[in-house]
Amino acid sequence: MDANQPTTRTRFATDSDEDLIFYMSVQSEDRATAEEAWEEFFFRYREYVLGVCRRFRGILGDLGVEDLAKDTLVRVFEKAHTFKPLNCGNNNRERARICAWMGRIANNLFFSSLRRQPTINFVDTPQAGGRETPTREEVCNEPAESSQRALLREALDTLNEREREILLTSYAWYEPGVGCQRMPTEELEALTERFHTTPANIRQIRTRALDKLKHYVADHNNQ
Amino acid sequence: MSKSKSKRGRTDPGMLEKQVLLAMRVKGWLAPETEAEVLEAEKTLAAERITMPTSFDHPRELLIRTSRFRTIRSSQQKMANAQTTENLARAAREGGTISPEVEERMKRDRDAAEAQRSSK
Repeated sequence: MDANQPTTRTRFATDSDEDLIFYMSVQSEDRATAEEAWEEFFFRYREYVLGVCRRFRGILGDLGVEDLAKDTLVRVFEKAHTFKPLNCGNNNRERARICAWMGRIANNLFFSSLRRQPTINFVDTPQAGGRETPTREEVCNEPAESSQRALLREALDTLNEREREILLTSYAWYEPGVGCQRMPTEELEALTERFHTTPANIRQIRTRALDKLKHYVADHNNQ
Repeated sequence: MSKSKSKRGRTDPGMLEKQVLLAMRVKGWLAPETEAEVLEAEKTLAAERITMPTSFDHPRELLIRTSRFRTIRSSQQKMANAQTTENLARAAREGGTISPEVEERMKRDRDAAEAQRSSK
């Protein structure tokens, strides 16, 4: 890990992570300071962000993972004003909270990239990216029985690679409270090419994968 | 077949989908979104050797690239300067041929508009 850490490059080397985000958040008043703070932040977090984005390597490939990590860090700069700091003085907790926030950004960008929507809004609009965090938090805070959750995680191991990727990809069209929407034809075609199968089969595979999970949980709940 | 399946699986389909998404995240198929998941991820990452691509060496370039995109988008949208449009319309009204004077005036208008934009 240390080999990848650059030597200190900015005057913000001793500032806390939350302070860096604060400097970024006032970019409309002092862009140069905000960029410098972000640069320091970038070097502190690039390894973590790249590391977690590698979870999507199966679907995005190596270059896609790099782009996702960079887009996530750029998005941090753009959305710094939306971050709510802990200000608790505990660096580890603050760091974990920042990483969790970046995780939500990365996941949203990942799903957006699957939907082939622009992952970064190049035009300044107040609404740009504004609904990301609450949507994810809704899912994140969903109460569920821990035994059920554990069983579901076990059940995921029973899926093969194809089922796993199709299921994960389908969540790009998932709306909380509505469920998974119909996957657009072009996306479906991309998946059919990749898995050498038909669109009808892709939908079947997804349905079967969910059934498989449901049955695993039901069967093991009864035991 | 579907009847028996729905009897076996007592979970509401919408809830199941939500829970599956959460389970996938907790399992590490997605990026961590809670502090507990972050701590778990960091344990795993500590054991991995990550080689940083060289494209991560110059972060400022990423921001410059982003702002350049903004400029291109914005300059395309604002290209139709009012005065230039008026000059074009006048040239069209007079028979469609743009005289060197009008062309020169259009060029001056465009240069002035672009200079004004870049100074903002």
